[in-house]
Amino acid sequence: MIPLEHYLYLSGILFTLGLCGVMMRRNVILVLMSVEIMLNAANIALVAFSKYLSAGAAESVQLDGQVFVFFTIAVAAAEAAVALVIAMALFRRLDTVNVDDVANLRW
Amino acid sequence: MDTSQILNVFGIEMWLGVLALVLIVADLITGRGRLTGPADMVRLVAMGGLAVLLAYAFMLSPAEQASSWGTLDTFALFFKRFFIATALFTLLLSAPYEARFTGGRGEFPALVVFTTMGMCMLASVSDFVTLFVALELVTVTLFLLAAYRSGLPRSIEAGIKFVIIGAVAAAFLVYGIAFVYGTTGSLDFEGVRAALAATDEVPKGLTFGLLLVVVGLAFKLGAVPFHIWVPDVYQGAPTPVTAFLSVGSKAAGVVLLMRLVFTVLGPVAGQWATLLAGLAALSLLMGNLGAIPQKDMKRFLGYSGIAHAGFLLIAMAVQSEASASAVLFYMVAYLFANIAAFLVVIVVSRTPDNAHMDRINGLAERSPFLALALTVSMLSLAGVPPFAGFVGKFLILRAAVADPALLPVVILSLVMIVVSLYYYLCILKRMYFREPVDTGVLEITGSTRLILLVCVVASVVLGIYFNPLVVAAEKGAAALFG
Amino acid sequence: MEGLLFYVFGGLAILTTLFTISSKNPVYSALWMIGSFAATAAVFVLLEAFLIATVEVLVYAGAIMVLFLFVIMMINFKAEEQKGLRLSPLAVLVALTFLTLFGRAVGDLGSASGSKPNELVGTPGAIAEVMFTRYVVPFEAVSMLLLAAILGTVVLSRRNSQA
Repeated sequence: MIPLEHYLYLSGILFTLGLCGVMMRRNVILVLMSVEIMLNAANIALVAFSKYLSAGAAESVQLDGQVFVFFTIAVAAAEAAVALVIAMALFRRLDTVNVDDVANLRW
Repeated sequence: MDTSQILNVFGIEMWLGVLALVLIVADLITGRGRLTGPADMVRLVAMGGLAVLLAYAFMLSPAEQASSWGTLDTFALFFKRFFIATALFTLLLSAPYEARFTGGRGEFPALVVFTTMGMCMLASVSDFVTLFVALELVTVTLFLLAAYRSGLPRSIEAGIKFVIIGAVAAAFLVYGIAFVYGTTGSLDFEGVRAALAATDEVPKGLTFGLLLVVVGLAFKLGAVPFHIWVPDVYQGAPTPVTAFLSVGSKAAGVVLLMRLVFTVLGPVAGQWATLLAGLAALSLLMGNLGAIPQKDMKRFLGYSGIAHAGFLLIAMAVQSEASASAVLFYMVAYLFANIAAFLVVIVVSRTPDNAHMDRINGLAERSPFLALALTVSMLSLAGVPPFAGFVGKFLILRAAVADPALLPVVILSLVMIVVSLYYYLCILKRMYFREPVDTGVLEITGSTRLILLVCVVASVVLGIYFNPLVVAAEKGAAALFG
Repeated sequence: MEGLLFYVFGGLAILTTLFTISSKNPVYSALWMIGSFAATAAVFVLLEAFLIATVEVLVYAGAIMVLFLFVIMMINFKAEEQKGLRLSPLAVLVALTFLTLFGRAVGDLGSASGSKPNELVGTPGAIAEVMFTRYVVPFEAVSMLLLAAILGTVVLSRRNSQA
């Protein structure tokens, strides 16, 4: 039997990798992919918690975590579509997808 | 499952959804010649619908007991009315701006109504699943609205920055919710509260989860540590959207944080006061010091918005009924002041299309009425008596001095009020003592006059005759403390 | 056996994610990411969340990543934009802070620590029953969210939207 903590460590490492990707990559597309990695890591934590919730809890409560994962997946899909269309518009207007080039709005 | 029970709580949201669908269809029917012709009609239908729903929201009485679907207490109702009114103002504001939406005008009202639907849901949520989905409905539509002028580089820039930071905040939120769920075995606010009340020592896993949730919500509020999007997005987004963001998005963050801090965290509230006070202090510093060197009106209002988020966070740190009602009053005062400010910006920034501060130079000469409206708005934001903003700040600080531990933050906020007075007065100086840079005739339509008049009158009346709103705010806040 | 599979797929997920965020070529990143999602799906199977594992492959690895690949193909990246990771002290600090807090949180999970896995099996029927009763409100809200996203993307991608 694998302890709950190991699943959580996996999700924590993936979340941190995604966080690093967001902060360290300059390409907008890669930044958006890193955000998807973070959301995916959160999903692992949710499913692991739902599997290891005490057996005394009602089954519907245990399923709550898994249902939540469906909502995050649906929301992630919508968010990705919106983010990508904005990235496309960015490329069309400014001919770049580099976060550093997107710095006209400064004082 | 009983549908009527759901509609008891989420009736307004259902009608908002219907309205959005009607608007999409109306746009399809009338929008053949998309860039000319009856695009106005879609907006008028939207405004009519929102006005009816606003009246409906005022007639609704709070549901007697909380159902498992959500809560419709006086607190939720207060904010639902607030959100619908904000949306209505936004659509009114967009009238003189609409011609600049070259990509399509008819879809704009529909997106605003979708956002409003999400905001109204947020006021009633009682579990983390609905919270997340409603919050994302608000966030994603706001992403789209910020980038709505997709032909304009600065609007796209605003959109991309907003999306990246918003998506990261959402990821933090989900991760936090996962830990809250795992350590309490519940996704209900009530269940989490019960779990917190039952343990003497809160497990670190739960604290970690709640911390991430609060951090994720700070993004909506525009408070530190997720404040960096505020100036860029405020400046780049289309001005009516900025107005909507500045009031609506902030209120969405406020309504959720209040529910979490005052009800869910109730049993351990004391431990969170320090963190909230710290975030408040940082937001006050960032906002006020950042606002001083600004040269763009919208960016300037963005920094001022961060500072106001700081004030709201002070009230959250106090955690008394008085501070909760002060927040409600503060938000209403902020609504009128901000709407007036952004409407003036829309009018003066018409051609060429930018909101540099030079554009308001000598405004008193060009249009005394606009100058008066902006003066009242700035003084109300600064917290000068006898305007509504003063009463809001006064109520928050009066609630805060009751807690001696918060004394340093209170002193800091007083210093910051003086700092803010400086930059708000700089705006007044520009209007009254500088020579105009533009000399073109300002086009002020009847509806512009009407909104400005409403905002000015409301700011003054609420500053002098504040009692009815204070009573309403107290009633709304009382629901949180049951 | 189960333990071995977990460490294999968990290790694969970490490795492929590492390649995703560090690849210089965005196309490679996207392909590595599909691998990462596949490994995650395998972890979900080990947790007996079968429906989620399926959806993970269909939606994440299938739909979302294809969307990303399409966009990458449509945007021709110039050579200088294909940079790998750029280390910055702030980013390292943020990541380390998060990991420290996370480590302490996992060390003290309250009642959840040391618990045994329950009998839960994530079949479509079981999930649907909860989703369409207790969570019907967020379900409807998600449908509105998707509709709004479609509407907005259509507006933003119009070719004639000149400034």
